[in-house]
Amino acid sequence: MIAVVFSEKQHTRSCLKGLLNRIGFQRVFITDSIDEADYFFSRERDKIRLIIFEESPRHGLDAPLSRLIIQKDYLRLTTVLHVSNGTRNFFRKIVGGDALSRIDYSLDKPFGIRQLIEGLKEGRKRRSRLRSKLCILGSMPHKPIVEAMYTHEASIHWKKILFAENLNELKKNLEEFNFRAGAIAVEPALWSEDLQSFLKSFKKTRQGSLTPLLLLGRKATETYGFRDYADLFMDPKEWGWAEILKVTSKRMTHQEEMVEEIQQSKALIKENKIRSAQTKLVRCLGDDENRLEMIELLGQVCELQGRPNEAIAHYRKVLTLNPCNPSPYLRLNHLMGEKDREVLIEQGKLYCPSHPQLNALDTHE
Amino acid sequence: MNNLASQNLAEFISNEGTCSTSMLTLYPGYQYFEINIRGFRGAIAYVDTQSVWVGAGDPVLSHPGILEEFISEFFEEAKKNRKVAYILPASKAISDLARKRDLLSFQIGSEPWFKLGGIHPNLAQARQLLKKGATVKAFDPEKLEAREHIEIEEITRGWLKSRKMPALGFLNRLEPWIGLEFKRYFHVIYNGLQVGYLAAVPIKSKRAWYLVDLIRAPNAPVGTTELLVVEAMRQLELEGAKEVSLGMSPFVRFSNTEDSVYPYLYKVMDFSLNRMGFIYNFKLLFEYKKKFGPSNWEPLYFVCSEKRVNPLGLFRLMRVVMPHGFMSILRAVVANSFSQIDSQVLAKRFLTHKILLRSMPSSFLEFVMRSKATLTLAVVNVLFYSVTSGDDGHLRAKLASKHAYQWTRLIEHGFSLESIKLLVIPSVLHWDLSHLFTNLIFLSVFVGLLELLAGTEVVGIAFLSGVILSNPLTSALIIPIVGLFSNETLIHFKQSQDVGSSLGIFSCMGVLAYFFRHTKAALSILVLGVLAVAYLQQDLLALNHLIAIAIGFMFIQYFLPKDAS
Repeated sequence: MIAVVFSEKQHTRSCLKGLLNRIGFQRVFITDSIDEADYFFSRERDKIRLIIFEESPRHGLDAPLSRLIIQKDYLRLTTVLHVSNGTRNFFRKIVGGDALSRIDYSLDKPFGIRQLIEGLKEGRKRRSRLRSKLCILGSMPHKPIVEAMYTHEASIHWKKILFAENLNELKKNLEEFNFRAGAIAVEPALWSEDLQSFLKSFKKTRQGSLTPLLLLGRKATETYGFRDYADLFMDPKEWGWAEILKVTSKRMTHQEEMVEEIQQSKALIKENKIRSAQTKLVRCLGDDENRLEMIELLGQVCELQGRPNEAIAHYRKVLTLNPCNPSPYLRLNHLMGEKDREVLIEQGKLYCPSHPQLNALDTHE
Repeated sequence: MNNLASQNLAEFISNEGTCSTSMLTLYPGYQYFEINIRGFRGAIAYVDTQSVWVGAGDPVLSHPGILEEFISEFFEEAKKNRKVAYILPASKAISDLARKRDLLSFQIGSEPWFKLGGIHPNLAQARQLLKKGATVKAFDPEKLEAREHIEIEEITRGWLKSRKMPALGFLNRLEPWIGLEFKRYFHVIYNGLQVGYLAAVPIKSKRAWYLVDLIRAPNAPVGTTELLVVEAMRQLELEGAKEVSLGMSPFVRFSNTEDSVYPYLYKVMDFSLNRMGFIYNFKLLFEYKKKFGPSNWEPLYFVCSEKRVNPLGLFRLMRVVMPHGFMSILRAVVANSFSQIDSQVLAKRFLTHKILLRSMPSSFLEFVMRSKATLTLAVVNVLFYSVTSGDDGHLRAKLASKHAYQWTRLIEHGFSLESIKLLVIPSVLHWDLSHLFTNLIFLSVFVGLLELLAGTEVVGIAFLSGVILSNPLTSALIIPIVGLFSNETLIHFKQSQDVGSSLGIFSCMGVLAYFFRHTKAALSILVLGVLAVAYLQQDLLALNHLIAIAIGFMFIQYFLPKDAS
């Protein structure tokens, strides 16, 4: 993860660098030169997760840097924080963003790591709020989906649903709305090799990594073509459109910070700091209760704490959202009784047919 | 003496002048002493002050043989007018004459001369700039196009603006456009724009030139002035010049012989050169001229018509050389000193890196705007003191008994508005002037600094918290403990009174300690200080300052934790 810090003041630059290192940014590029910043943006492009800049009294919010950021398409998904020298009230936490100056959140000095984390969170939220278009590829009736969008409070994030009936239309929608496309939902019946190839390469891009891909089906035969890159597998008949919209919106909103939290949680588990990991996971699941990576990790934590029943419940939940994830099957294999294990392994082999470890499992072990 | 340089005199000076500064005496503002000695003409320009004539360089003589007599006549004339005569910068010849007569003369600097003979200074910066495509050409200011005029004016304006000290006067005046008829001009063109220029004055009698005004744009590329000097020398040599001077470097190149003549005086000049660069950086000027590799350095002197320099005369001389006055120089020195205080360096050394604090103000107005709370508190305290103190400067006894904090009085009111008043009002009262003065100093330094670093709201909350909570908390903590040991002490403690804004100030100091890099050290100093005062005053209530520090520290720790958890 790369962050860029732009300020004329050396103390500000070095302080922010220290704070950003502490919250997990491995590389922090500091500069006071617009030309250097421009060069670095061009060089690192998709890897830049965060830009923090301090206003110059000469420029106010119309800083040359913010104009530069606006010009760069590839920075549309990057969170931009602004640091001011205390022109606002100390206790006004939410200053909000400014579309004209491309600022997602403004931090007033003095602030410490906690305010920075909060500012980053809020800034990311704002950035993700702009990604309010849901792309659906399928031939299902639109009415129930649109109704769910307008009537259910949980779906409040989605402002528009872009329907596509074929791959070309989907591509057109994504091109037209670019970073504003927040999630993609695909009907399994429309699978094709072209679609598979397109979605695979899309998921490798920066935008793709932040865009949840939802398969509107759960049958093993339906999931086969999508299992490597779809994030969620939810059948509208089982879940209902309201729930689907809610789950996808939360997943998209918290995608960036959750990736970091997951890494940190894994690190804590590895260091045997189980309680800290648990606290972190529970807190994160408060924001997005269907974050299956977190649920899986929580299952591991429960295992390590000697609470197998809870672990089983967590792994099962992961499988309801993504039956194509082999890892819960392997873990449940050790935790469940013989009778349940049989059914489970069969299911796992069905959904993950080419997974070597699953295939090696004997149902009668 | 003549008041104006007539055409005839100007021609005489132009043709016969031997110093690099001779032609500069044709600038307005000089008077001229002219005489005829045995058929030979001599003239010297000078500045007339109340008590001194300051001769501008060596006199111009049609025959060098009349030098001694001319100098005598000049000094005599000055004496007749009840003035002392000085000459600077004077050549060695004049200095020797003065010393022969036991008059005061000492070296004040040296002048670098370049004998042109096909070999020119070879400077890397100049070469590099040439490679990048810069060119140096002679130009006539009267034949410049409008755009070029504007560029030249911008360069001059930018140059003057970049000068940190007021311009010098006398022979150091920056007047590039006076003397167009005898000066030569060269400019550097880089990327189609002029980035610097110089003016050269002739020394016809020596077929030499003095490169007098060397101006570059603030954003001129590195090597601009070096290229200008080198190329100007080359072009002047092609036109027949034998020598070039870059002008005197003050306080440099004193010989050992000179050092022994007036050892203390030269020590002072040496000190000025090496340590007073923040006023006028003559050392840098010397290093700059030195890098061109002069052929020789000619010593230059100060000569006086008397054996000693009168302090008033010296003052008058200073006014001539520094026409903007001492106050303007002092102001510039103070301003430059402050601008050189790198707040970033101070911040890096003393402040924590875990909290991003506000930057120091960049102007006085910003400083005032950001110190609202401090200034308000100071004014309020002073006003209250003026109203509540008696003729002896002490707080009126009646007010003290009614409004000073006292535990017994606080308990009477319980949790009520009266209690709040009883806690807040004492913070604007002071026992006497020294109490107020001490608090004002602490307020200005610590509360002022905190406000600049963290803002008015932080100061407001810390100050108020300290004022309201410190005394009750202190009393609540100490009373049970003291009660176990001594009833008399307990009664005395309960009746102790307290006034002053120090509780709010110490609360702010607790916040400030949190922002320091070495928080524990800062807190330790504060705590030890408070304990010492409490011990010396034999007053347990003085420990309320410890509580105030703790309140400030805990408040800011809650709102601005240094860790994420």
